[in-house]
Amino acid sequence: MVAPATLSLRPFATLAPSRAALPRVGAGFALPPAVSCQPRRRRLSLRAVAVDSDQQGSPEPPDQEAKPKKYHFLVANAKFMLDEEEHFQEQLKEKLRLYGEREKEQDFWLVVEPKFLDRFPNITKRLKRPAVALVSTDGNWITNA
Amino acid sequence: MASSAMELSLLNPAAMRGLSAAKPRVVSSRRIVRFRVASSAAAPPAAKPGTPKKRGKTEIQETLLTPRFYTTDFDEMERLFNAEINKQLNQEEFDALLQEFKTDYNQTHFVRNPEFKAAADKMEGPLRQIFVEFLERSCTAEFSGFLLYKELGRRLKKTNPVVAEIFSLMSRDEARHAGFLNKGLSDFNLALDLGFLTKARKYTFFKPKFIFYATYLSEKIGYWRYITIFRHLKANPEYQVYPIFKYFENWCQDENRHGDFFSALLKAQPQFLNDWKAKLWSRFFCLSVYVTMYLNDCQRTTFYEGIGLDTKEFDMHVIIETNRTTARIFPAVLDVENPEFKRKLDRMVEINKKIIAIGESDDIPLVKNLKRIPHVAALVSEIIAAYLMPPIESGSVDFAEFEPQLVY
Repeated sequence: MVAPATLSLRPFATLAPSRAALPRVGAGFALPPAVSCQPRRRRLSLRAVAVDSDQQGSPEPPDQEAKPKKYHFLVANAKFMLDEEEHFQEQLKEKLRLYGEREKEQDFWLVVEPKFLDRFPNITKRLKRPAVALVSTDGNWITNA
Repeated sequence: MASSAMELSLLNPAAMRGLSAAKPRVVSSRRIVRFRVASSAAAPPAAKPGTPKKRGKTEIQETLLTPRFYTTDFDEMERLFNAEINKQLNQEEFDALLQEFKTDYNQTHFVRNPEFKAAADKMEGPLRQIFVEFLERSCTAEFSGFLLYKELGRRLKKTNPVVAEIFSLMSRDEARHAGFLNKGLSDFNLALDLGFLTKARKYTFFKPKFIFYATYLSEKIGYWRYITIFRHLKANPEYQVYPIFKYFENWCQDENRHGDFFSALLKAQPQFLNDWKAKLWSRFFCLSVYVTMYLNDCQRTTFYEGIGLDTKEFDMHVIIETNRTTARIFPAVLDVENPEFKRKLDRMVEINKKIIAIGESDDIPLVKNLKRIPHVAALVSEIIAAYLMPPIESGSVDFAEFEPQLVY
């Protein structure tokens, strides 16, 4: 898999329209500097065929004393991540199955057009929209993904 | 390790050193995967391709296409993974991969149920025989991967404990797969004597560089084979003749994780990915794997038709998808979507049929060998021509020029 903070984009002929059917996380998840907030937890139910995120990286957001957890994310173009390759969906499905079997609390989320991207202009300017981010408190898993 | 029914003449790694006297017995987490031992007469290993298996025959019939066991230069492996010698090692990525393997997604997955025996009892005639061969070859292939990974895990323990543990955990996965397949054989009143195989099979030596290319490819092609069969049978349940296929979805995620690990290994050795020799070898291994699979599967087309697949369509789908995946790491891949590539494969199939027919004829060995010569020459010619087709340039974006890692 890719190293953290390495970002690459694959060329597209056209941008895909925003997919209203995709799950969205509430607007509260924005990582504002002074406010600690917990993203709402929702069960992921992907309908699109997902893509392997081999070529994406994940810079870490700044650590905040006010927040109990550090979040890691990986960001990509939504069409690439969700449509072009199927393995991404399989990985999430496998992870959900495992969490269910072991009664483990969900610690990862798929966020479409995350607002926190505004705080990372170096990424945003190279990213075709709409964007999707895979967010988790498990940094190792994001490194792998 | 290598996938179901795909045995590679050059490509199934195995290890001999330190294992020749041992009967493998593997403890995976809380489960014990014990390899069942039966007399060779009851379970002759590795049936000769194209020839019905003869019960009681104990000699291992090896041809170019049977699954092989491999060993490698373990001293060179130790040098490659010594962090003091090799500054390219991305230990953070290996640490992350180790955590993923430790998660053990399939710890409780490979558990059988009464459906297995019932389904086996229903199978009769040629399909039953072909199915037994499928299970046997798949088990052998998974087992050979187990042996190599286990030995690498042992040998690298001092040099690089993280990489060593990953190899050990991969051998856990392969042992589970092999054990599951061998238990499947018990439904057909057979068992592979894996201890016997360990001692009696010939081991082929492969340099570490070739282990990386070959094993990466075989794990990724295993992923595509298993997932394609799974999806097909999910959409066409009338062909679900044996319950093992229901496990293929989770099974293939193991194969994909193994492939990702070899991808990280290759990136840790950029000399294997970034020069003209790397391009030549990449294409060579792609061609070897694809041709071997295509010839093997077409030779056993009855199996794939028995589960409702068009053999050639299945293989071409697997080849195209594997090639796309491989293009992310190998510096050059074959142009497999060029229609001429498939035409060459189909000509090879016809040539291979003739070679097999000669082998099955009643002529004396000398006459058989003489008759084979023109066909072997034709086969070699087709393979060389396929190799010389213009390749597709490819490679990992990890080596592309990008901004340094972003730190916040």
